[in-house]
Amino acid sequence: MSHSDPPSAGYLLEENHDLPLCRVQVTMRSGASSDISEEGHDAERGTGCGVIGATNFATELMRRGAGGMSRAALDEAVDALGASLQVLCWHDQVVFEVMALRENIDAACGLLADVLLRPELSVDEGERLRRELQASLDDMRDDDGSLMHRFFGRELYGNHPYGRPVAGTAASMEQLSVEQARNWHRYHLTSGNVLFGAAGDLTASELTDLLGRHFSGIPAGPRRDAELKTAQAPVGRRLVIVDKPERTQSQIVLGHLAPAWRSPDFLPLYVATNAFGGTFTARLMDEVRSKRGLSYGASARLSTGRGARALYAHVFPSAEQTPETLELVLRLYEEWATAGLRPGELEFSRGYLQNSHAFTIQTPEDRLSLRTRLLLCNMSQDMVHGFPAQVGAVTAEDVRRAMSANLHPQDLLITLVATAKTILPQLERMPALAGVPIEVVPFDSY
Amino acid sequence: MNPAQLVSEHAFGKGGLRARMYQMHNGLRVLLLRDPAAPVFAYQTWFRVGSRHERVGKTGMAHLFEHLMFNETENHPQGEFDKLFERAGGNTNAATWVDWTYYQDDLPASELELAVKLESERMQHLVVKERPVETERGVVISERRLRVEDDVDGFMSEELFRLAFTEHPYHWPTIGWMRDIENISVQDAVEFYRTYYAPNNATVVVVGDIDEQSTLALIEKYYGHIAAQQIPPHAPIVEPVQTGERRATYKKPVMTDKLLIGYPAPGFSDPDHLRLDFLSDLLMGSMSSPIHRDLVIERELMSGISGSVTPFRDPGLYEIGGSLQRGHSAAEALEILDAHLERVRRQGPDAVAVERTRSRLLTSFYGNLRTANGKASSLGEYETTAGDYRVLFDAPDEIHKITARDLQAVAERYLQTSGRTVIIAEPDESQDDSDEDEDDGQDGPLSGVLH
Repeated sequence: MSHSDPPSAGYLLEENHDLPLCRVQVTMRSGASSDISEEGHDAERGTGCGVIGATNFATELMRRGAGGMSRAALDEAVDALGASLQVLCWHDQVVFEVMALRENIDAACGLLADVLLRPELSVDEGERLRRELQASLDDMRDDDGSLMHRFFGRELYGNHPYGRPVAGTAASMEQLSVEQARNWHRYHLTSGNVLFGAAGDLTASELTDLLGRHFSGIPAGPRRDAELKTAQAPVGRRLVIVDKPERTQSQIVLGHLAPAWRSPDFLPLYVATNAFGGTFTARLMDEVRSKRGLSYGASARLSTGRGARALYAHVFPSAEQTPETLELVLRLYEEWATAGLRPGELEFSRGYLQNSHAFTIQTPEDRLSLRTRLLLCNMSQDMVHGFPAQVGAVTAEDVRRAMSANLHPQDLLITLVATAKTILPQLERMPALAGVPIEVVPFDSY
Repeated sequence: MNPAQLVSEHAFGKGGLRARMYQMHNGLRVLLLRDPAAPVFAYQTWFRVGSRHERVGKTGMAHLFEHLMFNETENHPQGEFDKLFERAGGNTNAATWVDWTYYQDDLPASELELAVKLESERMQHLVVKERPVETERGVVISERRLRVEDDVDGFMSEELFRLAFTEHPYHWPTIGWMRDIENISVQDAVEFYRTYYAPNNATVVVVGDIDEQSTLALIEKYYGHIAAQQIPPHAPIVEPVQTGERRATYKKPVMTDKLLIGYPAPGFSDPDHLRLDFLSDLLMGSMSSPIHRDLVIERELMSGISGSVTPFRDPGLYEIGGSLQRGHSAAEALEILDAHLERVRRQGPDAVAVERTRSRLLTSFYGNLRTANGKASSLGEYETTAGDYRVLFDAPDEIHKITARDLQAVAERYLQTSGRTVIIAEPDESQDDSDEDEDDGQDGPLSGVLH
């Protein structure tokens, strides 16, 4: 076995030798949020961007034929190893990942390197991928929860990159081209733009050797993750009905923009949000499900990411109980936002988050994932093991200040996936929605 | 009190882990696996009762009762159970299926006694009252709408089993028919609890950063005095052999056709179960699998296709399902699929494909065992459904032994058109008139034609 120098970027490694299983990841700092830059001159600069869905298209196409192998030959080579080779595209990053038994990880890394460094990017596969993406859009529309998040994102973030679907829209998919994918690959695959990581049955010296032999050919170059501006926060309350026939229940999400993960306000607000709707006994679940049986689920979440994302609550009552449930959730949100946490909630929430962190970092894969995301967001690795202490240091005053600065009950965006002809007349009679503009959009329009 | 007896043990993986099964004098089985990889543990209680133990008119009982188990007990008021777990940083959940119901607690390693104490408490001291039954009924109705009424895949799955099984309780859905959920009474719930929630009808599985002897001592302390109960025998129900294809088509608010097929399949502990699972993975489990490659990649008829064998104690179904692409019909896909299956029945699978699948299944097997919860779930399911947790450890060896001839034989045995049930959902072009009756599907298709 020959040894080479590892790539200069270094790596993250989480070892575990109980099972003969290994995972190796190459994470690119360019995600779908780089599809269209804020300046809008992507095509001229040869970045391969400029169309919604460009990053997903380029990276998925890289998986479809590489190292002189056709898509079919590459699939067979992966299968022959009993491995999996995935490309996962999000707004903030793209992860190229292989998982294989220890005895096959060297060969699997060879295939991963082919995908990264020597993709075919063929015209035929590009056309085929475009058609598959259109078909995936049809499948997504069968799932009401996915529809809800898609429309909520569009309405909340507007023209900000987070408002654009990772895979694109029906219209943008028509504009995706192989030429663009080639430019994307050329521009974004640089040594400064990738992070290496591994978890499982590998030692540091084994990983160093693997990375050196397979990935040292990544061209030198800078990071490509441009700074994300904060989206323009919508002002006032607004309600959007995503109209879909035959719905017996409504998927409801309501929320607004929130501070970014690395903001000092994030952690106190995270503690507060957890108290509101983060656990089974939290206020939202207790009032909506446990006391009234209105919805199987009731939760509130604060999203993490490189830029500012959303704080939102989600419930799904029956069509006939939609007004009652929406009224209740709006009232609970207002109480929470204006009166703050109830006695005992802060202590309970902090305790839960401190004690449950052991599960967040339970497996080597969990730890690798968290460490990678922290690096992507330019945050300290201290959180991996220091999170309980960080949460323990959050004071009541920190929480009060963060809630006061970041909760906007008057600026809520409400999105429902429901059957408009059933729901709209009921909503129009709701006192809590008096004066709130209501828009109805067909479920297959975006 | 007699101490628990060691019944069996088996090595787990290559890192020196060892699973041990004990049995207490009251019949409670206790399966322990010390795995100090992380400072947490999974505590699961598997009851050998599921929707198959229900009767006509009372479907959904096992599942609704699972919800009630998170309510008041004699020593803990409403809401305290979850509160105590969450305060400790834990999570609790539960699941019900045809053959079993299980309760899971994931907790930091320091909280073992809390789990043992609270789980033993609700095994013997649950308080069943009118108010929680009404509240949980509403929650279950919401869950049913989420998973069935407003989910076309859930609806098709429910229809598949309703049509494929005529005698066996696998005919009805675990969540229950809507009209039965609406009619379950407090008395029904109390009776169900007293009948099935007993130590001799359960297995406690604990996996994680535990000390085996002190865990066993705690379990003996809290469960030792719970009396065994007489569990009613359930006579085996044999589903009549299906002699002709059953097919139903429905109009639904979908963008393209959807197809779901069920072939008769062996029970979980039948050696053919793993072989059929292997064959399914070979045919459509990866991008290079012949059916996936042909229907999804080459012909672009479908956006995806997948297959799975139900892990049921009695013979169940081998399900194949997927969505069509625009401009193509379920009938087209079915014709091509039939040709593939006919080829496998006549010629058997390609030897290279057999080796590829073998590697993939082994990777997948270990991948499912990474967390304490994953290990506990696998052990609990094998113990409860196959009747012996050690069958889990035999799986890698069995995967190594499977031959192309074995796979051709299971194709011949199970993949016959005459024994299958086919469910098709088509786009409803007349949405303005799409309001359907409030039917629960118990008596016939909501719409469409039964062949």
